[in-house]
Amino acid sequence: MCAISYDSIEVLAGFTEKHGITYPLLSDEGSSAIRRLGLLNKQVFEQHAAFGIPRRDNHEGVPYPGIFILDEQGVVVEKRFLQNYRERETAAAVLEQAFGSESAVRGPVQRLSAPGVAVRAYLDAPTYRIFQRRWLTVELQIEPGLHLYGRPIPEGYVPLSLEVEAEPQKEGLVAGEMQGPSPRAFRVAGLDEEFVVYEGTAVFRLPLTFNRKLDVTELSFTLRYQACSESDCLMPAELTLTVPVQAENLVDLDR
Amino acid sequence: MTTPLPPMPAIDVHAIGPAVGDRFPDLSLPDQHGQLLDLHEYRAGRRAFVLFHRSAAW
Repeated sequence: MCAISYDSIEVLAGFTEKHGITYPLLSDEGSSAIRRLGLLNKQVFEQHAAFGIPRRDNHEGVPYPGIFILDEQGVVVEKRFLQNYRERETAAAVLEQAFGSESAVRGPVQRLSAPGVAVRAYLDAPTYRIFQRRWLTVELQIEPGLHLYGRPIPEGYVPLSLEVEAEPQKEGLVAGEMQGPSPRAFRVAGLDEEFVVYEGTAVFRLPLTFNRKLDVTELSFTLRYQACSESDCLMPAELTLTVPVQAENLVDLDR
Repeated sequence: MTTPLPPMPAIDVHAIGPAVGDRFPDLSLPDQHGQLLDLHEYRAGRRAFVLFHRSAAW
């Protein structure tokens, strides 16, 4: 792991001492590498204006904040840049998702047994800061011989879905699009309809961005699905998943 | 009455920097201890997490 910014060696040395950084922080003073790599943020003043932040000359030269994941050959296998520069991924989430290492700060796991499915749900960390992107992971162990429907889906069937419960979140918590494995195409003998299904173990993740401090100590999510075999379907199920969450030291908001 | 803030400009996040599938370009910069570090040499055949951030000063 290494991090790159336009700061001087002295600034990075001070930051390292203050925060106990153990990985390399590289100094691209003058931003020449940032420019050469096509990472120079040419929209920084417009972005700041959208938050009412006054123009300062030292804002010039910053990169778009983001992460590259490289494989053993040094090839980019994933890029993680977000629309809003204030919104940030966490190291815990990236290490879990890109490197498969279990987060050392993972939140408590909720386990549920439901018709056809065993569920484990947890946040990558049980704390958040404003504009941090957390991920809810939902691991489904689907009973052998059963499958869950995904989207697209013919009318009248219940696809797997995961939603944050509306109250009391509203604008303070924004859930993005659920990510998960690609479902398999599936047809039922004698029916014209085409389905896609999940089987076995399937892991889904829901990105969550906290835009302000929430007045809650836990978050609840609704998981809906219908489990079917080749010949029969169980009743559609609706589960509530609840995980604890707590606000951490909040950052100042004029940057 | 306050003036409304201008909208946030849209960013094509996929167009930023080296593309997925490309080898990450060579990069050699001094670290916080003043030692020159070559990214690919430092990786030594391992996978890497390369973070670009705005500033450690503000």
